[in-house]
Parts: sequence; structure tokens; C-alpha cells
Amino acid sequence: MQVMTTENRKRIKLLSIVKGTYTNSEGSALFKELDKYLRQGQSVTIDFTDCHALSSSFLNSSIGEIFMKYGYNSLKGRIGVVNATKSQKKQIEDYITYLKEEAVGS
Amino acid sequence: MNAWHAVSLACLIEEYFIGGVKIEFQYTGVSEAIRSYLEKMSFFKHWEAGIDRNDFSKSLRERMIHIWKVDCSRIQPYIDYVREYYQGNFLVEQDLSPISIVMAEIFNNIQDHSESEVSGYCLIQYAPNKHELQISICDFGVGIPHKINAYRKSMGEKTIRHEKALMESVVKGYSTKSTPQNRGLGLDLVLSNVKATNSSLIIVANKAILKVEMGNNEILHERMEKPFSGTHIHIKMDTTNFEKIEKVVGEEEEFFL
Repeated sequence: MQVMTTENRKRIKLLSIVKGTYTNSEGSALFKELDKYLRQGQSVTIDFTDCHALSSSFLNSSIGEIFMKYGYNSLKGRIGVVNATKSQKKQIEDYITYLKEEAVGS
Repeated sequence: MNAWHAVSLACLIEEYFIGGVKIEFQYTGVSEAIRSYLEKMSFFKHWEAGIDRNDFSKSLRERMIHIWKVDCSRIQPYIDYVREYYQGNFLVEQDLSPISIVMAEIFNNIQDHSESEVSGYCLIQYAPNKHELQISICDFGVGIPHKINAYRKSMGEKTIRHEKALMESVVKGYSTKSTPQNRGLGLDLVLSNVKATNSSLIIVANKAILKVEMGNNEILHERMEKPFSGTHIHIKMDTTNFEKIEKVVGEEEEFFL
């Protein structure tokens, strides 16, 4: 697994922990990695190099579960994304907007 | 005969097959065109002894990938295989994310919600002269409207007509909570990719039909008198509306949270 450290920020190369980004189980694997570092007070950069498309199951089981566990305020600025395509960024942005709306509505 | 017929016929044959019925094909009276069409997708060999019906990595012929029995443990390799095949042969410059996303969402729905004993069948085919890629995926499960009504009953709510239930299923955030993480975004994502590429969609489930016609983003629905026991989704994608592949340049970190 490829995890690079810059001070208090860990870098996770997504395809080194999962084969793809389509299923709940792949999302859960990312959740575990994120959780491992976040609960130690660290920040994380997710490297999307060579990832293709993201399913809602993958996002629900990874980002969605992290959001539920930590809440928006404690995650602010702590999860970054690099090497994602424009459409992947748009999908993540829309997804997080939806999570925030859902949190406000609940 | 088209992909729609092939996948629903495959589900029917599979239901007999897993019930212990021996499958044999007779070609008498079958037109050469239909026989050839089914041969190209490896239909006749599919139920032969020793065949792995979940395998898809066989020789590719013409513009069709073999019919595939959906195996949720092989979603990733199947989607990658389809993407690499079309990217390598026909759609060299296009970003095929819309195809990958709609397949992933429908396969995940089969796994999470359908309760289909036959799993499901998928067929993808491409007509380069029409720039049209067809994805047809069928299961013989409970069907979306029945699933929604079962959920409503469990919540103490009244059941609704099947066409209304099918319309609800594509609304962002509507979930039957079949899995704890589920947020009801899957069919919304299918629909948004269909609309974004000016493609067409038809969903048949139980007594309802939902349609989006090519170039028209309106969602239409109608009722069927004779029910279909399962869910069948057929998408025709206009590949001229796919974005060009985008190269990721530089490494600027972005924060969405």
C-alpha cells in the first residue's frame, strides 16, 4: 500500500487500497483507511490517479460514512483530492453538497 | 430480436436451468439473422456443461460483448473490460464514465435490492453507424415498485401505484434502505447520465414503465396491465455526446469538505 506523509497529512493512492471504485466493499476499504488517519488527528489527501468512475455505493460507503462519523465541521480542510478528473471532482462536490443538505434537513 | 429480448430470454432460460432443466436449442424455423445474432453473443453455448456463465473474458466478435450473467463479485473487472474494449476499438477519444457509472449503479441495485434468484443478465452492443451504444440489463427479482411498496408497508405507510413508485425510485434521495449506507442516489445517477448525454432510458418493472426519450429530458410513465416480475433497464446512449477524455494535468489539491 502506498501511503506518503507530509507532516500531518497522509496521502492515500486510491488504487493501491482498492481495485476499483464501484462497490460498497471498495468504499468500505477507503473508509477504513480514512478513519485510521483521521481518528489520530491527521489529514488525508486521496490520490485518484487512474481511477475511472465513481458509483454512489462507493461514495456512500467511504465519504458518506466518514461524514456521518465525524461531521462536516471536524472534517473541514482535512480531506483533499488530487489527480481527479473534472467529472470526478464534480461528482464528489455534488455528493458532498447532497450530504450537507441531508444533514441540515435531518 | 435485440438486446432487450436477449437478456430477458436469458433470465428465463437461467431460471429453468437453475431449477434443474436441461437446456437444448433447436434451430428449426429460426431465421439466419436471429441465429447469427445470438451466436455472436455466445448465447447458445451459455448453458453448456462446464461453461462459467459469469465469465466474460472470451473472444470478442464484431461489436458485441458476450452476454453476461451478472456476478456482483466481478463488477469491477467486467466494467473495466467493457470500457477497455470500446475505448480500444471504437470510442478511442471519448470519456466512457457514463457507461461505467450506469452499469455500476444497475449491478449494485441487483445485488442490494432485487432478490433475483437468477441474478441478472447484461448485454452491451454498439452500432458505430448510429453512434449508439445499447446497455440492456434484466433481473427476475421482486421489481422496484414491489420493493418500494414493501418498504412503505414496513414504515406503516400506504402502498402506491406501481408507476408512481417507479417515478419515486429515480428521485434523488429516495431509498428503501436495503443497505445501511444506501442514500437513494443510484437511479438518480443513472438518470442524470442519461440526460447529460441526451440518451434514452426505459425501465420496466412490475406493472409500470418509465421512459426518457432521446433528446427529451421529460420523464414519462405508463401502467402495464400484465406485470413483469423483475426489473429490466434498457439504455441507448448517443456516444457523440460523450465528453472527450480529459488528461489530468498538474497536481493541485482540492478540498470539498
